Amino acid sequence: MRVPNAKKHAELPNPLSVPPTVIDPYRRTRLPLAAIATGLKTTLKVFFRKPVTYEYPEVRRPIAERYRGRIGLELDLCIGCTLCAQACPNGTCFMVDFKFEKTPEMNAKFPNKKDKMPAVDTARCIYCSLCEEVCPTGAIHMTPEYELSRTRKDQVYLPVLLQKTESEIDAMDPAEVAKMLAEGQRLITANDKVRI
Amino acid sequence: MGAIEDFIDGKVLDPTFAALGLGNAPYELSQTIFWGIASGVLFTIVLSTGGLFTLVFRRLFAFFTQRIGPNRVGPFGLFQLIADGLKLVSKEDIIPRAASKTLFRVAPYLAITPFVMAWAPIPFSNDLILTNIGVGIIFVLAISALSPLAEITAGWASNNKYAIYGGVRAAALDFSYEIPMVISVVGVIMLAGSMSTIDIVNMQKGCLEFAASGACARHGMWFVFPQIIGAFIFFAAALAKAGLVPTDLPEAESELVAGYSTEYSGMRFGFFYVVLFAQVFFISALITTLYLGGWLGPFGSPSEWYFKPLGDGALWFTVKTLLICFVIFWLWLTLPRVRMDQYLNFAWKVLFPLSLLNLVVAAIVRGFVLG
Repeated sequence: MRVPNAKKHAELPNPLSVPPTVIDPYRRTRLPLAAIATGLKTTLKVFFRKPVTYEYPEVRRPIAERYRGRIGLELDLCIGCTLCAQACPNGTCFMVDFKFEKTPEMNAKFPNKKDKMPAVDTARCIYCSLCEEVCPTGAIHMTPEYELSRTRKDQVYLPVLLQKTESEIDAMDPAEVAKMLAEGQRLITANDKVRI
Repeated sequence: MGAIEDFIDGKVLDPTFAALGLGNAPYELSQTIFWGIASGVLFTIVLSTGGLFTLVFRRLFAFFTQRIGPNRVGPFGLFQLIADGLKLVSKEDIIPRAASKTLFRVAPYLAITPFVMAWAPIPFSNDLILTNIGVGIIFVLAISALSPLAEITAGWASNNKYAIYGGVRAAALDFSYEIPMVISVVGVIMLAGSMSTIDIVNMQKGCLEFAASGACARHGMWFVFPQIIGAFIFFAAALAKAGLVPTDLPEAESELVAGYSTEYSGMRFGFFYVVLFAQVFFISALITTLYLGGWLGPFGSPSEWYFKPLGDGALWFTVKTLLICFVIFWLWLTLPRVRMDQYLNFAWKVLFPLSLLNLVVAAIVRGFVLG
C-alpha cells in the first residue's frame, strides 16, 4: 500500500530523538509573587464594589417588559374560539362553560356565542405563551405575576379568577376562592379524561 | 487594680477564713481562684473571637464576591453565630462504628487546649497579659507545635482514608514549616535580646518615645523593617501550620472531603472549625507582637495616643491584629490551593535557606545598626 505522504513523514525528526521540552513540574519551586499581587488587586477591586444581591422580599428585580408570568384573561375580549385550548401543549388551558354579560357594543364586536371561556391550571402551565400567540383578540395573555406559591392544593383558575391579579385574589374571601378552585379541579379532571 | 492585687495577696478571703476560725486564707487558694478566672476570661475571649470570625469570614467572602452575606439574624447578622452554634449542638453526634472511640472523643480537646494555652504570653498591652514568662515566645512556639498531635489523632481515630490522609498532611506541613518559622523568630529574639514577649515589644519602641522621656538612647523600630524577610517567612509558615488557604491541604475539600474532620459532626466538628478560625486571630496577634510593635502606636507615637480604658495601647494591638486578619482572609479568598509537593518544596528549598539568610541579616542589624 502506497502512503501518499511517506516522504514528508520521513523528513520529520524521530520523536524519540527530540529532547523533552516539558520541565518536570515536581522539580520546580517557584513563588509567583507577581501573580499573587495581581490576584489580590483583582479581589480587592471586587471587595469595594456594590453588591449585586437583591434582598428579595424587600427589594425586587425590575421585571422585563415581556415577562411570561401567570396567564391572565380579558373577559370582554374573549370570543370562545377555543384556539388557546387547542394550542396548549399539555392541557393546561381548557374551555369551560362561563356566561359573561358584556356591554352591547363589546358584544357586537367580540361575540361569545357559545358562552365558553378558557380556564387554566397554573400548576401545570409551562409558560410557553402559545395560547397568547394564537389568540385572535388578545384576550388571553401572560401577566407579570410570578409569586404563585400557595399552600392550597387546587390551582385551576376559572375565568373569574383569571381576570384578577394575585393580590386581588388574596383579598377575596378564601372560602369562595377555594370553592372556585375545587370546581376548576373537578372540571380539569373531567377534561383530562376526555383528552386522553 | 488595687482590689485585684488585694485579692491575689489573700486580703479579700482572709476575713471569711478568720470568721470560720481557720486563720489566714492560704495563699495558693487566692492564686488559684484569680488565675482560674483570668484564664477563663482569656479562654472565652479567644474562642468567641474564633466563633465571631466564622461569621466575619462569611461576610467578607460575600463582599469579595459582590454579595451581601448572612445579615438576617440580628443586627448585621451578628446572631448568626448563635444560630450556627445551636444548630451544631442540636445535631446528632455520630461516632463511626470502626472508630477508636476514646481517641475520637479526645481529639477535639487536643486541638483546642494547646491553642488556648499558647495565648498565655501574648501581650494585649503592657498590662493586659496573662503571664509574662521569660521564655514567652519559645513557650508559644513549643505549645503550638502540639497542633499536629490533634490532627493526627483525629485522622487516625476516624478510621477513614480521607481523615488519615488529612492528618498525615497536617503533620507533614507542620513539621516542615516548624523549622523556618522558628529560625525566623530567632532573628527577632536576636534583635530584642530577650524571649519575653513584653521585652520584644518594648524593644520596638521608636525614637519618638524615648525623646518624650528626654533621652533618645537608641533607635528602635518595628522589627518588620529590619526583618522583612523574617516577617514574610513567619507569615507563610504560620499560614501553613494553621492549615489556612493557600495551604489548606489538611482539609482540601476537593481532594479529601474535609481532611481529618471528615467523620466529625455536631459540636465536635464545631471545635475544629472554631479553632481553625481562631488560629487566624492567633497568627495575627503573634505577627503583631513580633514584627509590628504589639501595643505600640505607629512609629513609636507618644503614649497620649493610646486608648486608656483598654489599658495602654490594647486598642493599637487590636487594630493591627484585625488588619492582619483581614490580610489573611483576603489571601484566603484570592489564592487557589497549592499542591502538596509544591508546598513541601517551598518549605525546604526556599523558606529554609531564606530563614538562614534572614538570621545573618538580623545579626548584622543587631551588631552594626542597633548595637
